[in-house]
Parts: sequence; structure tokens; C-alpha cells
Amino acid sequence: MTEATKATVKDYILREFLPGENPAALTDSTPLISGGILDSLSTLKLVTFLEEKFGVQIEAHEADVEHLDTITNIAALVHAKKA
Amino acid sequence: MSKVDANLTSPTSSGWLRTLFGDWMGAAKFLSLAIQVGLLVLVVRQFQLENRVFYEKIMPLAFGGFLIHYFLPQRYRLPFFIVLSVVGIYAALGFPNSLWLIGLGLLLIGICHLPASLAVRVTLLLAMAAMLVVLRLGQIKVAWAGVVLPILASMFMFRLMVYLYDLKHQKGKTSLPHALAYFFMLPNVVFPLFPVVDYSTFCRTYYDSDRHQIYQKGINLLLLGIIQLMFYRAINYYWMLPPEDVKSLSDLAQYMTANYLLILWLIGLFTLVVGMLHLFGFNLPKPMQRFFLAASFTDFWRRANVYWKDFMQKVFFYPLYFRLRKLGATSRLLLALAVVFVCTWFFHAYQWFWIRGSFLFSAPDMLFWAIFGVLVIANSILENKRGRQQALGQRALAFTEIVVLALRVMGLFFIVTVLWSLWTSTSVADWVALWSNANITLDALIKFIPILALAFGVFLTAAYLFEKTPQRAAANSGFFPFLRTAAVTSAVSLFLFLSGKPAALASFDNRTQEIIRDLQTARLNQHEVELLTRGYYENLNAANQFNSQLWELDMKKSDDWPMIQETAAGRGTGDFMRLELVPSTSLIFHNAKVTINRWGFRDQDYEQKKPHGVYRIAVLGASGPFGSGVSDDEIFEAILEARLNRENGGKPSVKYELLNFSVPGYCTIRQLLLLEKKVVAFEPDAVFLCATPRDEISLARHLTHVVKDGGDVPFDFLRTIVQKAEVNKDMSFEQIFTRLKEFGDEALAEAFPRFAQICREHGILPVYVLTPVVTPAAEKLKRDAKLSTRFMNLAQAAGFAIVNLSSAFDGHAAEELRVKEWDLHPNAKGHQLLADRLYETLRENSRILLATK
Repeated sequence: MTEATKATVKDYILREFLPGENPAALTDSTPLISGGILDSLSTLKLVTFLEEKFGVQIEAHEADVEHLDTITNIAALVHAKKA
Repeated sequence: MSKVDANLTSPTSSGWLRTLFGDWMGAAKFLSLAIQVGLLVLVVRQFQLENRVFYEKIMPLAFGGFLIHYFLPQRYRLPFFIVLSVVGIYAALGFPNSLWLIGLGLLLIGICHLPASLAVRVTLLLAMAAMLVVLRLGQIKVAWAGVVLPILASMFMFRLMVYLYDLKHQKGKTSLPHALAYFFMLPNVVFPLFPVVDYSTFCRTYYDSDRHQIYQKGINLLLLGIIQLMFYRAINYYWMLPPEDVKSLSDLAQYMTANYLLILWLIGLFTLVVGMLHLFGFNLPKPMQRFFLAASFTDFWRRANVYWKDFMQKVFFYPLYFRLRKLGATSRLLLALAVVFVCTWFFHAYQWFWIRGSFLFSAPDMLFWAIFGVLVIANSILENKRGRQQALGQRALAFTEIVVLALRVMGLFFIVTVLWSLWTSTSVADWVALWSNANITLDALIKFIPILALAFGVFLTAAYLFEKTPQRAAANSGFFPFLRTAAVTSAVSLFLFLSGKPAALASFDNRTQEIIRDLQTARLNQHEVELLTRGYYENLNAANQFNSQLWELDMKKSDDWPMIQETAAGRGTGDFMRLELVPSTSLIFHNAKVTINRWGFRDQDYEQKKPHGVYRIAVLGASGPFGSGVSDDEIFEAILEARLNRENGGKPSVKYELLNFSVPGYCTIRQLLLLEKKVVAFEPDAVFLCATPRDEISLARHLTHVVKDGGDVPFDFLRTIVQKAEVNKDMSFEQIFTRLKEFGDEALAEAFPRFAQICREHGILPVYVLTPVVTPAAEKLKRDAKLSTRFMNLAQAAGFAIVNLSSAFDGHAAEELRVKEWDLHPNAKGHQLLADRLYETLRENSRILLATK
């Protein structure tokens, strides 16, 4: 479940924010917000994607570096929401 | 011991080395860090950055604290930082003030943790804020309010919101040490403009990587901040133009660019603060991210003040955006961003209130935020639709992409520069006047093309150097790269430190020496001095934005520092004179005793008819000779009178009387009218017209007020000047002033002969006394020297005897001679120097003292 979530999220990030990048360069621990890949607008896009794709509702205070900075964090958040 | 420290331990380390540092590499790292911080302390002191408390107390305290902190076990480091911060507050504010600051701060933090609902806690905080507003407005007078409240506000006015938000959502750590370190952080006490830090980021980044890397990053930031402040000084001293000097397109470009680049001051301060926090383990992000190289409005917003953007995003933007789920993405974005910009505008005024104690609701400020907000919102909506693509750091930009980027950066720089000039203008009309005075024609635009090409070259180079590859490379934590960075930082710091030493200075040519010395002095530029001086006579805030040191000076200004017309000693006249002194008043003005005699001038109560055997001198001047900020008996005129009667009478029958007719703000024209209407009736033998190189400006400003008020202008030559300048009361103040200033020479050239003529008709010797102004050395300026020579020549040609006292303050620092940091009038010592020099000059020039009627 988590691995599938990670793969889905990774695929979305590569397609939406990093087109043309080598997929191998984006790892589960690549910093997305603190590394500058996701800014506030991209973060909101990602949140909308997660909410639609996984049927979860993410709160404003969860749209932060603590919950969304890596693919691992994102998958964990989705997992926790769905649990 | 941290993970990285443990890695450094080698089996060969001796016991003490292992205990203290882990191994010799740890010892080497510590040594290099200590040397670098020590050098930075010296550089900061050498260049007098940024204020005395900072370079004399806080920087050395941070250095000493760092050396101890380094060896403390992890669990003691945060408590130690809190103790150090409290010591810093005490060092900066003294005992009672620091107690108030810490007491009120603890109360605010305590309210956040009350076992009550969030609504109750917020209500209590608002009630306390209301009480503090009353104190800040001075409705209830308490001695500590002016000093404590700006600092308290800078620590709590925004951070409390973030802190409460994080408490509510259980983000960050809720321990008391973290909260105390967050609110009372060491550098804040000297840098009140650093108000926002995200609490969860503050906690999360605390020792989040190798501590040596964090310390080194802090040192790099400190050095960067120092360099940014030096660039700020260079721009402010040598490149910034007064807006009234803008007369062409290139002047306009120079003014707007320099005006925008003054933001380096704020960038430098923020960088210094964040750098210092790194020395104690707070691995916070850089507050500004090369926003001069932003390529779009959203990019600018993201880079310009990262901490503010994060604050707005966390507390306002995201909560609102998520609450508006029912709306479409664009509508949500538009509404949430609109609220962000309204909040940013409001909070800017809110910050201004707490720090300055006055309200900032000006048209340029509102217009700036409205235009900028619309541009960022439009850009964000467009970007949201198109998508913003990033790279992972492997791909460098191609040359054509860099060229396009440079063009975009240059375009944005231009737009922001224009907006910035609006923001920092005193009024929209003044901003329009700035453009109309620049005389922009097609021919001027064509001639400007080479400058544009040069500017493009600069942007292209910057884009190539800084933006070619995404900067996400992790810091290299290896030992030798660490030492290499330390060596570079040490070398630059050492160079900066030594460059100011006399031995090193001697190897430069005179001009370079002068510039280096100047850069080591915190001073105002010519325009700021004029704004400050104008503030003595007009109800004007010298600084209208947080964009230079001037506001800081204004902040220090005592609340009890009125203009003379706001006291019982001054009143309006309703005519060209606009102001006169009220006879028979006595009061304390600017902490000094001021007595106005029955004739309406500041002096003893002389008889109007000159007694027999008395040599009488009338002194005419503005606020300096009036003695603004010194007591009646400390004015140079009073000191000179006493000395002449004591030492230079020669014959017992000769007595000297010096009558001081000076009035704050009076220019040569008003002095001419005063001479006619009042002074001659006192039968003086000589009139000392005390002047400064700024008289031309003073005259133009006064005439501007008269034109603006639609008042009557005396003398045909003045009316002719008003006609020739083509000014009328419907124009903006700056526009009228800029035009009238051009006729300063002409006005003086007419006024001096009239003055001398009236003197001759009454058998009075006219004496032009050139007095110095209290400003730092470089302000003594070639510009002032040229003006002085010109005015002296005009006066001499009109028949004045000349007394040049312009070098009376030489060899003395401005801070020795000024009344207060925010008031550049000569203090008692300055007046004493003037009296001494004038006495010597008069003794050498017996003609003046013997020219009896």
C-alpha cells in the first residue's frame, strides 16, 4: 500500500513538477519543499492531487515541510489519513 | 556527543583532546571557528556596524558565549543561549528596562499556556495588547515604554501569532526553553526589525545537521551581512541622489536604482541576525534569496523575505485556501492571495506603529501594496495554470536560456525599482514630480541605450554566475573543504579588518583612504541630513519606510522633542515670517532652559536704546545660533559676550552686548526682514549674519511653504524668482522646492546687498559669519566647501566683512558635538568651540570690534 502510494506520488511529482528529469534522481527522501522543488502553489496542487486520488482530506496545517517534504512523508500522511 | 563528532574521534587522540574536541580535527575546527568569529567581532567594531550596542556589547558577548557554548553538552546549550540572551537584553537596555521587557514577555508567554480555551487566551492577549497600545501611544506615561515596547513588540508582535498557531496544531516543541529562546533570541534586542521567525522551523532546524557545518554557515552569513552593510553604506554615501537633484533620465535611473538597493541595509541586518543564531545551533534558512535576480513577481515574493512569506503562508494563505474548498482553484487562489496582501499592508503599518509609535497610512504605501498585490496575484494565477517546472540540480541552463532569464530579471528589476520609488516617496504627487523633473524625451531615451546595454551585461553576468545551475548542492562536510571555507572567510575578514588600520591605509592614495575611512563610519548621507534637519522645523517623519538607517534614528528620538512652534515659546505670524518667538516666556526646550526676553528674542532683557560706551552686536541666525538643545548661558553668543567683557575690553569703559535675534528655521530672507523690522531699533554697531552652506536650501524650503500656502511673497526679486521658476500652489511640495532651489544663488545675490545696504544706512557693520554644521567628516564635503566659498564671495561682494568659522569643529567627531544622535545641532561643547574660534578671529580682526557708530 505505502509503496504503491509512493510510486503514485513520485509519478505525479515527476510528471507535474519535474518533466524530463531522470526518475532515479528523485528518491523517497529527496527534499521537496526544503529543496525548492515544491513552492506554495505546487504544494497546493499536490494536496489537491492527493485529496482527489486517495480520497483524503488534508488540513491547512498539514501542508508543511513536516508532512510533505519527502515522498516517504507524503505516503505516511496519506496512510495515516486512510487508516 | 553528536553523530558527526563521534566520527571525528580517532584512536590516537590524547585524553584531554578527546574530551574537549573528539580528536585533532575537532580541535582544528574549533580553532578555525573561534578565529573567524573573533575576526568578525573586530571587523564589526572597525566598521562600526550597525549600532554601538551591537558592536561594543552584543557581538563580543556572542563571541564569548560561542566559545563557552561550544564545549557545553547538548542539553545545556539551549538554557545557556537563553541566559546569554537575557544578558544581552540587560547589556542593551539596562536593569529596569530589561526587567520590564522580560517580565512582560513572560506574561505573554504565560497567557499562551493558560489552561483555557484558545478563544480565552486570544482574548486575554488582545486585552494585554490594548493596554500596551495605550502605553505606546503615550496616553499613560511610563518612563520605560519608549525603550521597551519597540523591542518587546519586535519579539512578540508576529511571533505570538505563529506560536499560538503551532500550539494549537501541536507543531514545534512546547518546552519552556524553546519558547524562551524563540522569543528572547540574542540579536533581537539590537535589531528590532527582525520580527518574524517560524516557530516550528526554529525548533526543527535546531542542530539538525553537523554542528560545525551549522557554525560555519553562521560565520559565512555574518560575513555576508557585513559585506552587504558595507555595500549599503557605499551606495548610500556615494550613489544615492536627493530626489530634488533628479533633473534627467540618467539622474532618475541613478536615483531609483540606488533607492532600491538601499534595501541592502535590511538584508544585511537580517543576515547578521540569522548568522548569529547559527552560532548557537539554529540552522535557519537564509532570510532573503537573491531577490535582485527574481524573474517574476511570484519569484520575487518567494525570495524577497522568506520568513515573511512563510508566516503569511502558514497563518493566512493556507488556512483560507483550505477553507474555501467549495470554490474553484483560481477563485480560492485569488481570494486567499488578496487577503495575504491586505494583511501584509496592514501588518506593515502595525509593525510601524509598534516600532515607531505612530501610524503609517500613506497613499504611496497603500498604492504600492495594491499594485504589487495585483501583480503577484495575476502572476500566481497564470503560473498555477501553466505549472511551474523545476529541476533536480543536474541540468545547467543553456546560454540562450540564460539570456532570456537575464532579460526577464532586468525587466522585473526595472518594474520593482519603479514601484519602490513610489513606495518610498513622501506623496504620490512628489513621485509624479520626480518623473516630470527628469525631462524624459525621445532624445534622452536614445542616449540612454548604452546604459541599458551595460545594465543588461551586468544582469547577464549575474544570471550566469548565480542562476545557471539550481543551487541545491548539500554542504560538503569533509574536513578539508571545511578548512578551505574557513580560510577564505578568515582571509576576507582579516583583509577588511586590516584595511582600516592606519598602516594599511597609508599604502592607498588619498581618495581611497578617504573612502575607506568613510565606510568605517555610520553616518547619514546628504539627503538624509537634510530630511533630518527639515524635521526640526516641520512636522515630518524623516523616514517614511524601513528602508534606511534614518527611521532607526527617528525611532530613538525622544517623544518629548517638539518643534519650537509646538511650545509656548513659538507662535505663527500668519505672514511671510510664519514664526516668531513669544516675548517673556521661559521653558525647558529639548532638555535645556530657554528664556525669551520681553522683545521676543532669546537673550537677557537688554534696553532697546543702546547704553553709552557699549559696543553692541546683533546675532542673526537659525536654530544653531538660537541655541537649540543648549541652555541660555551655553549659547556661543552668550559665552563670547562674557569673554569679551572679561578679557578683551581693553578699556574699562568699553562693554560688549551681544543680542541674539536668531530664530529656528529662519533663512536669509527672513533675517533680512527681521533686520529691517526689529534689529535696527536696537542700534547695533555690527550685525553677525550667521550662515551655513545649507542656507540656500533653507531659503528654498521656506519660499516653497509660502508658495504652497498661497501667501504673499515680499521683495520684487523674490516675486520674479517665483515667476521664473513657474511654480504655483497647486504643484507638489517637492516639485516647487526642486524648481526654487535652482534660484538659491540668485536670491542670495539679491538679499545680501539689501542686507548690507540697510546696515550701511544705519551705520552698522555687516559681518557674514560662516558657521560649521555638525556632521561626520566626509559630510564636510566638497559640496559644502564649494557652496560656502560661493556664498562668502557673494557676501563679500555685497560689502560684508567675512568671518569664516567653518573649521571650528575640525578634529572632533560628530557624536562629541551634537545635541543628540537624532539632533545635529551643536551641543554645549560645540558652542564653546564656536565661541572660542569666534573670539580668536575677532581679536585678529580688530576692525570688527572697533567699528563703533
